[in-house]
Amino acid sequence: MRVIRKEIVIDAPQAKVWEHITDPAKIAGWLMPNTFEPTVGREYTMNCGRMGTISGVVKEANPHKKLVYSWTSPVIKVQTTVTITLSEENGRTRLILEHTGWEAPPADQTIPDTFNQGWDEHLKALQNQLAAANK
Amino acid sequence: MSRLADEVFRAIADPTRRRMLAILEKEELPLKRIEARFRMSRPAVIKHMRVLKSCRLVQVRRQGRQMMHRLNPQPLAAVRDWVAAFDRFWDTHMARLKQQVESDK
Repeated sequence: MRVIRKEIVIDAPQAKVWEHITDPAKIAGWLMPNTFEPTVGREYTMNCGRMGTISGVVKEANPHKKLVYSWTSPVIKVQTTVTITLSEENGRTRLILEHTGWEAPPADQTIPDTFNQGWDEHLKALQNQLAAANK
Repeated sequence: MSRLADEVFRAIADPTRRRMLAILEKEELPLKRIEARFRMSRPAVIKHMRVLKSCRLVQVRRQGRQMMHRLNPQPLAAVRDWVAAFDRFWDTHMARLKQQVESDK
């Protein structure tokens, strides 16, 4: 398990959520100052303060549904991917964010268990969070 | 992020080095066996081992005429903390996003 996954339900239609995750001024409000533009192939940067400048390329932009962009920085080094998926749920929007690529899959699948330790507690926390959100 | 985490990250970003670590977790090996396993020249193996040793992911001890290499998992904790930091980063920002969208009437 080398995926960061976050799931939230927002009391707003998908179109509105889409605006907030693609419009640079609105992204700046909840994430970071940026040069984002939801056009496939378009490069962007985000100013991440002490974590440095994040940069990447828009990989997929399916309006109101799915947004995928690569995400890296001189500090992170590895090329990671952020995938945001929106779906309608009783008039509200379920947003799933997955941040993957922290370690590329090993060629022979014998990655040491030590790489995986530590995720268990996050998974547990996530499960608890989801269970709490579903109540 | 600490300098160690930074180095560890760079070390494990390479798939060959990850495979080397996976093998060195199970067995302690001399250079010759690592070369054979990866069908790689000695200088190439030494180069990878230098990266892994500099961030203490691989420890070496002498056994007779051979230098035995094995995984030291301890520095990986620094990386786990780094990914955990991003985990918390998104918790914070997802909460902000929800609040921002819901107050945009």
